[in-house]
Amino acid sequence: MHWGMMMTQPDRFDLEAALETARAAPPHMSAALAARIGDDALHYLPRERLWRRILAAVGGPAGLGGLVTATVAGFWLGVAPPAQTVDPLLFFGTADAVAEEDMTDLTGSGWTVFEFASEEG
Amino acid sequence: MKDTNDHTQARDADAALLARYAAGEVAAARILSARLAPRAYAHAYRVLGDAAEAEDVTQDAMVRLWKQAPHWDAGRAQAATWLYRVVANLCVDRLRRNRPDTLDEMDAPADPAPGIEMRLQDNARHDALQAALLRLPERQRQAVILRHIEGLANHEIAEILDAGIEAVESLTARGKKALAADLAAQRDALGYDDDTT
Repeated sequence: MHWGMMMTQPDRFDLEAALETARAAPPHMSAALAARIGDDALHYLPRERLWRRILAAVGGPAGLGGLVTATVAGFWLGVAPPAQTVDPLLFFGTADAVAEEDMTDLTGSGWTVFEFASEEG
Repeated sequence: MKDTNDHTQARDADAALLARYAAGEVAAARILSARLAPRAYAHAYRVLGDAAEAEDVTQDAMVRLWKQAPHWDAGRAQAATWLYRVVANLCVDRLRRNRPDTLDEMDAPADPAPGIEMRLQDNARHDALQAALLRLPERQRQAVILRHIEGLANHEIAEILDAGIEAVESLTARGKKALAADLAAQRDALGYDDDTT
């Protein structure tokens, strides 16, 4: 039988009516399934990555840039300090590297570092 | 042209929601679930004819959507079409896995088993259609459901079933013809005459 002929017969009405009924009344998913889908959605919800959280904590890309610049500058000053700069370690390790009057000012007590060291010895 | 615009708008809306979900927005998940999950479930149920299996397929398909969200390409297919495709494939997997149990039922459209006949007599026209759908070959069944019940366009069905437009037209035509013949053969059992006269 040709399909076009069949479409004109009463059978067609039956099928179209059944399809229309199916369209009008789709099967409904259960509340339990909806809840499971919701749980899955939360479970797989993408979290912010650790490095993004750290980046936000230091002030974003600009903050990170400043942090890197300060770190590099500090490292470089440690490796190659300017020629006119006094090594801070000299204040603690070598007494004769600093003039007596300078240390008097620093201690504020009238004693010199040299005298202090002699009394201990 | 209107269909194309609607399709583009729906695709963009889905892509925007997926992007919001990927950014961690819970509300986007709720909207996507409400838009897509019922359609996925309806299709799975009609293809499989089993509520529990349809629920498993729907949940599995939605999980795949959540996992895909961070990698979603806004220019690709509409999320609904993508989800239909996932559901269709999961249904095929289940049908093939359950084939030994369903072969007899699918191979005997003109002479249904007594249990099925009883069910057709007891249930409404909707159930009769569902039973007839389950007797169609799997590809025809999916094509008929997508075209004549879900109301999708042929190009969308082609994408879902990974087939050409002509193949889809052929599948839907043959499926609908077989469906009509099947239902006509059971008209007396279904009591259609009573409904239409």
